[in-house]
Amino acid sequence: MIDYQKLISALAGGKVEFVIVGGVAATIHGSARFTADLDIVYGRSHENIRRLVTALAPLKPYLRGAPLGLPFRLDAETVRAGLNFTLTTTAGPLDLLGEMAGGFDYQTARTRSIAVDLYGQRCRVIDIDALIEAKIAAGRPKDLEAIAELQVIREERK
Amino acid sequence: MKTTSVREFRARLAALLEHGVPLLVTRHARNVAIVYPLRHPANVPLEVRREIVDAVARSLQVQPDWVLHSPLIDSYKRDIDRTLIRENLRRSPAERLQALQAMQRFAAEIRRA
Repeated sequence: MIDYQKLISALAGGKVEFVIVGGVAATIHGSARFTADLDIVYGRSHENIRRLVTALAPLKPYLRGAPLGLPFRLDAETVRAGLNFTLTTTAGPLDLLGEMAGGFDYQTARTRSIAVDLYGQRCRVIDIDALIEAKIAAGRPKDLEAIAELQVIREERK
Repeated sequence: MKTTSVREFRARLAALLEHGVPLLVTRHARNVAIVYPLRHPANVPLEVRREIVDAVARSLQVQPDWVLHSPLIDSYKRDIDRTLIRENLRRSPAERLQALQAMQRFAAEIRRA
């Protein structure tokens, strides 16, 4: 199970520039589908990467699915050298995306996001149209049902 | 970089590209284009590569309408329980996350059982 409050509060409280995407973004828009992690697109500036690793350090981030004991440390150098990280934390699974399907990096995702208050913090969540575009671009069969549901949410909001 | 006229470029395009070096194309002694053969992609300047990536990203962001209006998506839509969606839309975003967490707790208990 994921402790969203802990994860989101750590990121937002640490002044990390990020946009919530993926299944949790769909949930925030009204989806009833199950999702088991938190996906965020994060800013790749040096300062933001420093804030990101500082904010996550207390949650003991580690590579999800990797054997224990690897010499892995989520520090600024590691994040700068990579792009997307699939992590496990003490608050639950977390995917850090420097870029995601559809050509979204932090800047483009932010311009296509809405502000949402979560756990007393103002967060950015990718908007529903951009989320649909990203899922189309990802081209995964499992996303077809999610795309259909997001379209239904759009219809129900009208 | 090799310099070539538009006339030569047109007449010997395949052979010129074979060299694998960037071509500066001129017309009436004016520079009109630079062509980067992709035999050695590392020779393409970083800025040009970034521009290509941006152009591809922009094209990917254009919604392919055929997906949104396909019978396949319509068939998925027919099976979606709109009452669940309506209930969710009455909740605040934080309440929607709470409901998701409750679902995760339930799934974890089922797995344990």
